[in-house]
Amino acid sequence: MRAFRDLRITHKLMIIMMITSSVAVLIMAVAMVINQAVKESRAVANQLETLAQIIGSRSTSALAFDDPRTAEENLHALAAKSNIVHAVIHKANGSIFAQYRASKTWPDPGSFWVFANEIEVAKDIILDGERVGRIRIVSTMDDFYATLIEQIMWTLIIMVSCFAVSFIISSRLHKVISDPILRLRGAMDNVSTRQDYSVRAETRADDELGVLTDGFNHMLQQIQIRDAELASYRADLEAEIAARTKELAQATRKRISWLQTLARFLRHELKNATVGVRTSLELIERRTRDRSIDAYVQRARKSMGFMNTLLESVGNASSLEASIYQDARRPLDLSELISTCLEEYRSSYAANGFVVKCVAGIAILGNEDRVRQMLDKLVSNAVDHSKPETPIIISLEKRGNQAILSVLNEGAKLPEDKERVFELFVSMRDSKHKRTDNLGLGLYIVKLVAESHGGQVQAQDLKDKEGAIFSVTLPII
Amino acid sequence: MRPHRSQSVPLVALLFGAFAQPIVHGATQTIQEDTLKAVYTYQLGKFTEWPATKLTPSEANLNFCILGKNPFGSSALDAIQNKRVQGRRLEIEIYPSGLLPNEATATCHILFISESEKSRLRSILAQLRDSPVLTVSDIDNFAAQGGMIALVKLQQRVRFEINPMALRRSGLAVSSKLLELAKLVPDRRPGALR
Repeated sequence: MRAFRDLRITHKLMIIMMITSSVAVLIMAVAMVINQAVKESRAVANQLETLAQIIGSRSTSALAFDDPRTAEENLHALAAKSNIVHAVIHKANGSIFAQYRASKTWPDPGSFWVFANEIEVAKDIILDGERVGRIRIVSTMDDFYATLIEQIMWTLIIMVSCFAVSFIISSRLHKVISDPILRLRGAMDNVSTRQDYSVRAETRADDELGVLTDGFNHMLQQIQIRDAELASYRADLEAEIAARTKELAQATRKRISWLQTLARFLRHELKNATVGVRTSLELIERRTRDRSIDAYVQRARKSMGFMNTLLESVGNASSLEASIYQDARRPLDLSELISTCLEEYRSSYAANGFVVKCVAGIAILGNEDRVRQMLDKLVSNAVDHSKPETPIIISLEKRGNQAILSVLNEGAKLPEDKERVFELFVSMRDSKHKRTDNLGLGLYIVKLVAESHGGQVQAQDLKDKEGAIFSVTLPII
Repeated sequence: MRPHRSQSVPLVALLFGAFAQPIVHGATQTIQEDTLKAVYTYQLGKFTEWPATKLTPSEANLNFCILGKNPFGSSALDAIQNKRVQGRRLEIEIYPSGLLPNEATATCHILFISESEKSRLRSILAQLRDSPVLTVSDIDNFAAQGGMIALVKLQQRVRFEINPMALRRSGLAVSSKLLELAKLVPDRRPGALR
């Protein structure tokens, strides 16, 4: 049954039709054979009875006038019927009057047959209303079996023909059911293998299979419509993204060119302007005899120097920002970089200790100089705001596909508005070193580098003690 | 002359005689010849067809007439007493004088002519004049002399000789089944119609 269940629907339908028709034909054939057998056996008996009647009737005179020879002659007429084995005429009192026995013998067919091998009929012989004797005829059933076998052969031939015809018919008829199913299956295969939702299964009839096919087609249509909508949304989105990207790129280019112009302006035009002021100050110093003016000149010169430094720094920052997006990027092992820089920090900032917690083998795609610059700025910022005798903790860890580089120091808290520490020219915390070059450029550069590397930076207060931690998140290769 | 009616025999005995006993058993000779002849004669009636004018459908009896000295013993008569032939009761009438009254020619269906009338046979047959009466006798050459059925003893059996011409002339028909058993004998009387 399992084997049948796994057969193809075409074969299943054919088998079902064949079994149905075969069973019907078989039942009919068996019924026909049985009917024929019963009829035939009755016919054989009838025939024998007729013979008995005729011979009995012919033998009335022989019985009446005690002439067994004539009776025997009558019985001998039975020799014409080759099946008849034995025939006897009895007198009214039961004694044998005359008999006939066939000369040939019959082989014993054994008990193969359902029907008896011999049939016997007996009939009273009546003369003028009186029973004068009895005739008994024994016959083999050979004719009957011959007819029966012939009948069975014919039935078998008819059955085989019916089987063949029903095979031919069912091999065509099954298509009525199987074709729509196979078409539906073909359509489904197309959909699943080629993801082609434009195919449709053909509907030819208005039956359940037709409805099923229509339903399937409707479903495909819905999917297709939805697909088309999605595709158009995606196309729109892509176009928009492209437009935005273009706008952004344009804006970036504008910004870069503006920054470049600014840097040039600061370095050249303003510097040239300061040259005029400095020359004038030198002339004033040389020409005057009044020493009391020296103090003012000195102050002016000092301010002049500070202004030059400022111009230099701003110029650097501008050109840095302008060039940072154009830097070449290479694979860069962050832990190696940290260990390289650590030597330098330990000598530069001897007052502070350094603790390093690094996970080895974290690489990013970046510009080594810039990343080093970023780390420098973070460390110098931490040192600037650290309490004396407290260590600076540098750590590197991996979270998902992000590398997190953080620098921690104990000391001043972050201002309320944390994000502003990363803005240009903003230095919000009280620095212990009121150095002239602390122009709020450091953390701005950190942010610039982090963002140009596809990362970000954030500042947080320490939870358990006073101090701050700056964390840079960068994507790992 | 009034016909002598035989004594009636008990029915049981008759039936016994007819069926149970081997009354027809020539080979062993256990039955008396006269009984056999009586029975055969009566049974001939079963194979004979009389014209409807002679044996009308309404007729209840079939008359078995014996002409001349009765050759049948009482057991022979008992054997055929009250027998039925073609649905009619067998009536036995005996004319021991050997003279056949004219009305008897009309009433008798079967006429058994006794051996005693051998010499008068010619005149008896002439008297009958081909009337439809089945004539039976055990007189030698009875059939050849114009009688219809002769009972002949042959190899310890009683057989028949039939004169089909005589039958035809009288309008009687006997069954072919009977003819099968019999020897057909032509009429040897001078001037007999063929």
